[in-house]
Amino acid sequence: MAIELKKKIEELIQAHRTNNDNMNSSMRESVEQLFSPDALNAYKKEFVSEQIQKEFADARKQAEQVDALLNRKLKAIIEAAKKAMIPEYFKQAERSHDHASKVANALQFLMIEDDDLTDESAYLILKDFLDDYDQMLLFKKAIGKKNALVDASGNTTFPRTFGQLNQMEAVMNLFNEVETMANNLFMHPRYEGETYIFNNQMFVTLTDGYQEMYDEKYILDFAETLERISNKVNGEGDENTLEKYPQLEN
Amino acid sequence: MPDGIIPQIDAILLRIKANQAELAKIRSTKVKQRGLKQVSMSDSERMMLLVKTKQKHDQEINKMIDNLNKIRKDD
Repeated sequence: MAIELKKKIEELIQAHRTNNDNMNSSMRESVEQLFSPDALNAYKKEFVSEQIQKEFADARKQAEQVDALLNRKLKAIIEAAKKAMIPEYFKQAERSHDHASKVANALQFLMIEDDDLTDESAYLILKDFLDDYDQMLLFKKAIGKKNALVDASGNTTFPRTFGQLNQMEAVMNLFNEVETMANNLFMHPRYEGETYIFNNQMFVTLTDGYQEMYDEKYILDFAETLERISNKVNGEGDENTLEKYPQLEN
Repeated sequence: MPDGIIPQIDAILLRIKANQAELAKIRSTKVKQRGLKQVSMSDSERMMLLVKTKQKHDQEINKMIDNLNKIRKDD
């Protein structure tokens, strides 16, 4: 099943922009109402200033509340996509009662092989642990002490043994990037937009900054890559995935 | 983060949208009902109604957000 991460993030970005537009149009509406000749004839300047200040603060507060919710939804969507793409990471591996002795035996075999260890022999020693992400990570670190895990061109030297783990790590790294950007995506500080000056006071509408637009663009790029990887795993991939991420090829 | 959090957030966002529509309606209201008659509404009456409605909305949304936070703590 496609994770549709990019589409979901695009919808949230659109919702954030609509929220921004609503905030600004509500600010403009207050200005139009309170700066109208009728209002200026009916109320004192101080009251008008105070009222606009209050309306602006309310509009901003509400927009920030919506943005905070959109940001939470974004994080929840990413978490759900992560669970769908790498369920092994969240699932506690089933370990038999003699797990510790199996690990000890495997380590013993690895020590005997030492730096003559090949992908084939490592695979035979570790094949019982392939689905155990945490355990395989520890084995990878242990093997990495004595053997090079990548060759001069950056390709893995243990494709059969660590192919699955490498794929998961590559996906995890992408998710880490996405999560870092998602942390405050819709909560960046806003910049000044239109300016109104009344009674020696300045009132400004607000607009998104460049950092936010940059992050939005990049989070969509990463989401697209993740989607492509997910499609490839589900048999719907294209060749670009492997060109960009050779470590995914077992 | 449980999967059930997304519908909860959607529900709050929908509520906020409905509240905004209600406030916009009040802003554009020129008359009020008095018995069977419709009489014009003054600016100050409209302002008071807006303040009251906003307070009601704030309470409602804060309650919903509190419930959302509780789900996250329980997780």
